[in-house]
Amino acid sequence: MERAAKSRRDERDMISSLPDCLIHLIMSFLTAQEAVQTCVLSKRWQYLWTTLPFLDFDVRNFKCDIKSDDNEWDFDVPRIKKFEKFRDFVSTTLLLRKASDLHKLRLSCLDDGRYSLHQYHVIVKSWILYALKHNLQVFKIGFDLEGSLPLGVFNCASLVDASLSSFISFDHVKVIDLPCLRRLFLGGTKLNQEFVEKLFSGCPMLEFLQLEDCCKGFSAINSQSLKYLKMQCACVCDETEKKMELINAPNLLSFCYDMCPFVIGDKILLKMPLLTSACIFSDMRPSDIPYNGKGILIGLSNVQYLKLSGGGIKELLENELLSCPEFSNLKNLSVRGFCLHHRFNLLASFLNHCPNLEKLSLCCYACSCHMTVQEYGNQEPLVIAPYKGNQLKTVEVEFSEFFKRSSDFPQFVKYLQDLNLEFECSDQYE
Amino acid sequence: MARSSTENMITLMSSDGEEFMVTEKVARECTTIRNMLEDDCVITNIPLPNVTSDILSMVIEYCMEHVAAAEKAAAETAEKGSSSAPAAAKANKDLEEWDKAFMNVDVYTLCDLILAANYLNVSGLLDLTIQTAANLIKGKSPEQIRKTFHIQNDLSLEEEEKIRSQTPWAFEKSE
Repeated sequence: MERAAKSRRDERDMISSLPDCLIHLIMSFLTAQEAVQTCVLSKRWQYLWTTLPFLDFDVRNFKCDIKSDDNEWDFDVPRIKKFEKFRDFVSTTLLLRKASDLHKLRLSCLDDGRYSLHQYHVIVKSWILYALKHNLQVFKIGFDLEGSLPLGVFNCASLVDASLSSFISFDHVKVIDLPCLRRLFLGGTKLNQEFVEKLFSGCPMLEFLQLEDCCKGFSAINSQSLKYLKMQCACVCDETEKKMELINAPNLLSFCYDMCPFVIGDKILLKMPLLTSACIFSDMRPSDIPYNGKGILIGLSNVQYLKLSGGGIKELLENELLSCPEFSNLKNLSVRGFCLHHRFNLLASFLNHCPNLEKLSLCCYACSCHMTVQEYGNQEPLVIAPYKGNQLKTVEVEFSEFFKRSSDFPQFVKYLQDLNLEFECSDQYE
Repeated sequence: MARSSTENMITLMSSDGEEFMVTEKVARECTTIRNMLEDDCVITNIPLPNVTSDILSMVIEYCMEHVAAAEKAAAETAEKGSSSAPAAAKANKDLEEWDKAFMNVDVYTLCDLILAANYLNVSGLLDLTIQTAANLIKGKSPEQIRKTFHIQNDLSLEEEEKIRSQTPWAFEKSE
C-alpha cells in the first residue's frame, strides 16, 4: 500500500478516467446484468454498456420468486417465469445497444445445465441473427434449438471460436464456410459423416476440436489443420458400428480419446505422425459387451506423453499387448485407475514396450469386487518381468489402502525397489 | 539472480525521469518494447513518457518474477527431461500466490497498472489487473462500487430514479 504516491491519495475517481475500451475489458468479466447495472454509477457510466462488445447471458443468473416444490404439476411454472425474465432481459439489452461490434456472445439457455424451453426458439434465433450481423468472433450457446440454429452461424466469416451445446443435430446444415474458425466445441450432438466432412472442408483453420457426449454417426476424420482433438462419444449410430474407424490428422499434436464401452465399433486406424501427447480413457465394460481390441495403441507409437486411465485399461492392454508397438519416444507415462489386482504382470510387460521412459506415474488400486479370500488362495504368484529401460528418473506412485493390504502389494513394492531409484509414494488415493 | 554478463541491458526511463536498468529478456515481456527492439536492435535507452516511476518499478517487478518463473520451469525440464507434474503444479500455484499478493494494492495503483499494462502491452499483467478490477465490482451494489472506486455520483436522485425506471428489466433483481 505504501507504493502509491502520497499525493494521489485524494478521492480521485481513477476507474472512470480509463478509456472506454479498458472499462469494457473489465466489464467483459461480469455477467450481462452486472454490466448493464453499472449505468447508474454516474453519467460517465450511463451508456458504457451500450457499446460493450462482450455479453454473457445465463438463464441461471435469473431468480424466480415462485417457490418450486416437488409437485410435478407446478414443475414448469418457475422455469417458465425464469425464462421469461431472461428473455425480456436479453431482448431489451440487444434492442437498446448502440450499433457497435459484438465480438463475444455467450447465451446459456440451459436451465440447471440441462433443460431449455423449446417454445422460445424463435426469439433465441433472432438474438443469434443479431449477433451474426455484428462481427461476432466468439459464440457460445447452450440451447436446444432442434435443428433451427440459424444457418448463418455456419458461414460467419468473423467467427473464431464457437461452442455449441445441446443441439440435437445439424442435419439441416447444407454449407459450412467458416474461414477463421480455430476452436470448436460440440456437445450433446448427433454427428454424421456428411456433416463431419463438410466441417473439415469448410473450416481450413480449425485447430482445436472437442466433442463431448456426442452420438457418433461418423467413422472417418480427415483434417490437415487439426492440432488438438478431444473426443468423447456417448453412443453410436447403428450404421457405423461395423465400420473401420479412421482418424487421419497429419498435424495433430494432442489427442484425447474416450473409448466409451457402448461405442463398439471395430478397429481404429490412427494416422497422426506428429502426435506428441495422447490421453486414452477406457471405462469398465459391461460384461455382455465383448471387446476384441481396437488396435489403438499401435497408432500412438510416436508419442512422448501417454496417459491411460479408467477401469477398462486392463482389457485394452490384455487385447493389444501382443500387437503393441515399441514406444521408443515415450518419456512420460501415467497410468491411472488400473486395477492391479493380479494383473501387475500385464502392466510390467507393457512397461517393457517403453524402453526410454523417464517418468512414470502410477495410480493403483485393487477392486474390492475381486478381493475374496478364496480367490487369493487359488492364485499362483505372478511372474513379473523386471523393467529393462535405463532412462527412468522419476516414479510417482499413489495407491489405495485396499491395494496396500492385498497380496499383490509386496510384489509391487519389490518391482519398484528393483528400479533402483527413489520414488515418491503417497497412499491418499481412494 | 545470477545473470550472465553478456546479456544485453536496456534502460527504461519513466515519465518523471527515473532510469531502470533491466535485462533485455525482462524488457521483452512488454510487447511494446519488444516491437521497438525488433525494429531497431541497437536501441538501449527507451523513454516511457506514459508511465511514472512507481508504476514502472511495479511493472518491472512483475516481469522479472514471471521471467524467473519461466526460466526455472525450463531449467527443471531440461534437467529432468520432463517436468514433474506436481512440481509444475506447485510452481504455478506459487506464481499465482505471488500474483495475488502483488495485486494487494489500492484502486488508484490498480488503475495505473491497468493503463501501464495496456500501454506496454504486458498481456499477463493486463489480464491480472483487469480481472482484479472486475472482482471488485462483481456481486456489489452500485453504492458499494462507487465507494470502492470513489466514483462521484453526478446523477441527481431524480435522474438515477429515471434511469432505473427506464431500465426495470435490468434491476428487477436488486432491492
